[in-house]
Amino acid sequence: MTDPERRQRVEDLCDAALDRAAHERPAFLAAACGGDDALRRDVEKLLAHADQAEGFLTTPIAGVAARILTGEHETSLVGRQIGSYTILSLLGAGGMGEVYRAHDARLGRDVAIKVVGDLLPSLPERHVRFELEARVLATLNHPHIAAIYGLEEADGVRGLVLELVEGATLAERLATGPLSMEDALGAARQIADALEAAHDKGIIHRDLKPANIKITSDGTVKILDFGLALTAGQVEDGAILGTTAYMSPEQARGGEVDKRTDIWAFGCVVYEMLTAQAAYGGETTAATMAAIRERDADWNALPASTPPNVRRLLQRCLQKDPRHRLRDIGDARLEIDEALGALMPAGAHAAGPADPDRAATRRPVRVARWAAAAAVLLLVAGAGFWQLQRREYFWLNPLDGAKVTRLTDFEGAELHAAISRDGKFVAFLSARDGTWDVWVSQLGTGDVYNLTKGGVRELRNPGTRTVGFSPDGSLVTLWSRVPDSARGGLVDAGWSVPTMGGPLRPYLKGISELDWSPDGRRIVYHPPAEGDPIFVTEPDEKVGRQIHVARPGFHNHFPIWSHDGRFIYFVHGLPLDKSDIWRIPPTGGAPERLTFHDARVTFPTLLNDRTLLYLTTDEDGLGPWIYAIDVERRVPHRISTGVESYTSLAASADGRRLVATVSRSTARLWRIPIADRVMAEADAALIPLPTASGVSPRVSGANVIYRASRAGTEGVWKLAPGGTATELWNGRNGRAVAGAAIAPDGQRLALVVQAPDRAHLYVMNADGTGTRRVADALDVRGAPAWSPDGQWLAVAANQDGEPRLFTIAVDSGRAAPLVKDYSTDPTWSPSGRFLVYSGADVGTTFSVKAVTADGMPHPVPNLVLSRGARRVAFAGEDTIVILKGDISHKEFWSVDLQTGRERQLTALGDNSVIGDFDISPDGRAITFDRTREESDIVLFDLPER
Amino acid sequence: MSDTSAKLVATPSPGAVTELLRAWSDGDDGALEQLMPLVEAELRRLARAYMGRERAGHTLQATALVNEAFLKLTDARRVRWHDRAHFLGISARLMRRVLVDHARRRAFRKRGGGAQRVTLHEGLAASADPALDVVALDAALETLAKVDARKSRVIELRFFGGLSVEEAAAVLDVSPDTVKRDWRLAKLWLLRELEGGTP
Repeated sequence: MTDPERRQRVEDLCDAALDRAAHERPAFLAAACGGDDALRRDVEKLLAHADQAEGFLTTPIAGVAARILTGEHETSLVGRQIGSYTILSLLGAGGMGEVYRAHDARLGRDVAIKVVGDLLPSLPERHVRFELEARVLATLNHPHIAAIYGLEEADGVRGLVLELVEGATLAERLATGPLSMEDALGAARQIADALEAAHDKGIIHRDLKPANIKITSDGTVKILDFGLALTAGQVEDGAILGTTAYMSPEQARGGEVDKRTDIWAFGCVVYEMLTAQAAYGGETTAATMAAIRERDADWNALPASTPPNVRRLLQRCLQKDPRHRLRDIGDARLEIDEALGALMPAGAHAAGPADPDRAATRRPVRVARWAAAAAVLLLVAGAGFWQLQRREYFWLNPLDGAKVTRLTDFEGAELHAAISRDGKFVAFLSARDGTWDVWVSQLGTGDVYNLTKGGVRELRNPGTRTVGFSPDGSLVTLWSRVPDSARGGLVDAGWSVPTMGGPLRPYLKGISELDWSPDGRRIVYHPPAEGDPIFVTEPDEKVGRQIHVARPGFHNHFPIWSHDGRFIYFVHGLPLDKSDIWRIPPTGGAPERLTFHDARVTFPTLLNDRTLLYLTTDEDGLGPWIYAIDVERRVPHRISTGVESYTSLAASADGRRLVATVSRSTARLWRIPIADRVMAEADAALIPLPTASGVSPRVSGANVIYRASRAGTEGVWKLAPGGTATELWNGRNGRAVAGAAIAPDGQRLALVVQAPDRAHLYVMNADGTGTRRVADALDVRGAPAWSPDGQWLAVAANQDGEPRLFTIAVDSGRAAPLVKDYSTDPTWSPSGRFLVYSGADVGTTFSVKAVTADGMPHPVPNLVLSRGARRVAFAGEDTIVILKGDISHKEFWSVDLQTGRERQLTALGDNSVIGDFDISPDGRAITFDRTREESDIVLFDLPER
Repeated sequence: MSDTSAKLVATPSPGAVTELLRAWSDGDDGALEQLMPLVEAELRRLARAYMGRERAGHTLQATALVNEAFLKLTDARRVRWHDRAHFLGISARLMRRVLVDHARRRAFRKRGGGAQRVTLHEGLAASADPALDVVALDAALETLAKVDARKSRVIELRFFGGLSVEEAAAVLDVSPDTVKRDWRLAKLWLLRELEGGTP
């Protein structure tokens, strides 16, 4: 064997041995190594460290590096003199400062000094908290609370001089297993005693947990770290403090806390002393928080020997509703005394079990033990760990505890829900009266009114917010396109209609979307021009200054003004599926990217200055779901649960009310003939499918290949003439996106599969076997097309942030660029001479373009289509079939590529959306998917935080 | 503090960093040398800013810093998905360099640079193993890199960079299972190596 081969062999054996229990390894190795003793010894040398390896390098050190990067560690005080104290070593450090071991020369003892450096004068709140802790501790003089000796200040360094408590923390002790019943109750008794003393002085600890409790070898307990303590009645706004696993439900909600929060934590600590497991635990912070809010502690985990009254006490301490919780920690002390009394051997105390004085008889014993302990200084320094984890960041789901109401149950779709700033009115789009109209409802009344009554012709656009309220709520604003009398065609415009009903009036001409500043005097808007330039007006003006424009092909949608007025948030990207949230100051400057979904991001809305909600599809293209992000920390969280997808979202100004449209639409496949007359609804025939839905049909001989969703993801199916369907691609292996491409001989097909990072192109046999990826370096986008000679595939792939067409040799998988500009969704002409494709989106439109097979521009008639469907199919060498109309409603037309003559093929009506289609090989029928939209408005009333 | 060099680095244009990232991922090691000071300067700036605006509820998290640096330094319109992975890889290497330099400096100041165990500042190390000899680990990783570069990188990414298994897998373009396997074998290898060199 060569060296690398031998090394590989050692590794493989080592790896296999690690998968076995330690005692099985020798026999395994003996067998696996045969007589090769040298090999076996090499493996054994590695395996010798298996136990040690468990704990080795398990905690990443990156956080330490981050601290070094701040330069803060350079302020180490080791060796310095502060007053009469010599700093000996650092015990621990955390966000709030550092804790050192120091020697007090005057009294000849070691102390702990908690220091807040003044290097960061920008942090006054640290100093305030520091002084508060000093004051709190000074009022507490208790044997079970680590004492404060003083407050020292020297050379700009301020330090709290504290009792140095040697010994392990309760957390460290519990890592080795539960305490005995007697030890646990003894410790619980001391903790209760200390908390009672604090509560009597109106002080709440707020961060009681095993890591903040020291327990010495003789069983003496000391509570450390009143750094989070509050005096009763003092309220800290907003911040959620404490340590997850020991937080009370009200604390986890960020609500007001009182001494009952300590009682909850006390219950958690006692439970953990008895079981060595957290009462409420989870793999993640979110799971722990959920357990705290929703689950009961596992009472079966308590030892069988737990006295019934202790079991009852714990259940009372861990009541989720503070009103039902034990009120006074003193009551806990009494219960524990009773249990301890019962535990003690009969001869150990003179008094009988019913003697009310038995607690008193124990006290001298306990104090004597404590006094003896104080004389002994143990070695381990554990106090240093105080601060490290005490302040975790907690993210709270804004929808937690929300009351959810369904506002409408109209048949069909409700879209573009908007809510007035005061949260009293909701407006939305509905076709309930036969045309798409703006409807309004005054919340609480249950009444809905049609405000536009057929007076507006185009209201729907999934890529922009088309309905809103003026700041005072008196007007509903809406977007529509109207005929442009000057230049012909359609022009975007903002309109308004009084919320209580009245005439429709132009509001801002030539704009697509707008939002008002917090004071309602300034407007941010964008016209539907290339790159969606964003404009901001001065107070009380309607014409603004351009602050930003995207490069051609890219879009800026959904501008909203932050509550504090400092930023404009907007959605930037390639419509619609490659977008993210960005922000820019209203004065302009470089925009800043906040999210990295690269997905269909829409409808951002702010609950407050920090919390931004929006809709986005996830990395597999599922959804859209509701997401939330803290705009400073920028970790996106999906906050809607369940499989419902959301199609619009808006919040009231106080962030307490949210409206959304929840969709439950299904798509089905239809067939309609192509004939000399315009076909109507009656000519369309539903294609029965064995799957629940179907989209993106492609006709392959007598079969139809289509996509269908199952179990939340989309696969590819083949429907045979008899009505049976077989699955060609299981969506669990990756979600199939866009229509498949079918080879001219029908023997192979190509499809695009979305992976979390990018999309891959697959080629497979017509029966679903022989799957392989081709041109895997490409991040493909949109639908592929197969050349008529069967040799090539054409598909768009992302390059430099925009889709561009490539051709791929099917057999070698080699890709070559075809078009060097924005280009997507190609279709090959029947002769194979040229390909038709979509150019860049401008506003809500895109152009149809063509290129020869060797990359030269090919002339086609000027054809500008609306977004929503991009499919072009050939019905003969010079005739294409397209979908033409509004963004959300289109009909089939044919276009003669020689003459440019257009002819309408269908008039199917306005109540459904056609997405994708194919033409039968004889050119006489269209097979298409059609979605009947079903959605309702839901209202979320969010609790006060 | 020895970051004067970092201070002299002008804030680079987002496009430049994106280009350098790409050049490095295409195999240009010189690009890495240009990138490191830029990334370090930004991380230092952000780390200080972070401490400056630290409020109750925030702790300084390396991963948050790195993410923020990535947002600041790169041209978001042009970054590709893999650029972020490469950036994480660079940051992990940087973290390693910072830690080892720090430990060396400390040892030098304390003992005139003798060849003794070089642990981190006790306080800084409180979240990790206070007895860990960072310089010896660094040397062992160098040795490991010679026989198995990927395993050495896995340790660097996960231990020094704080990356998750999945993130490390993305950086190295291997499966998470490969990372897990490398991780457990590399730890055994390092322990064997370190055993020889430490008392």
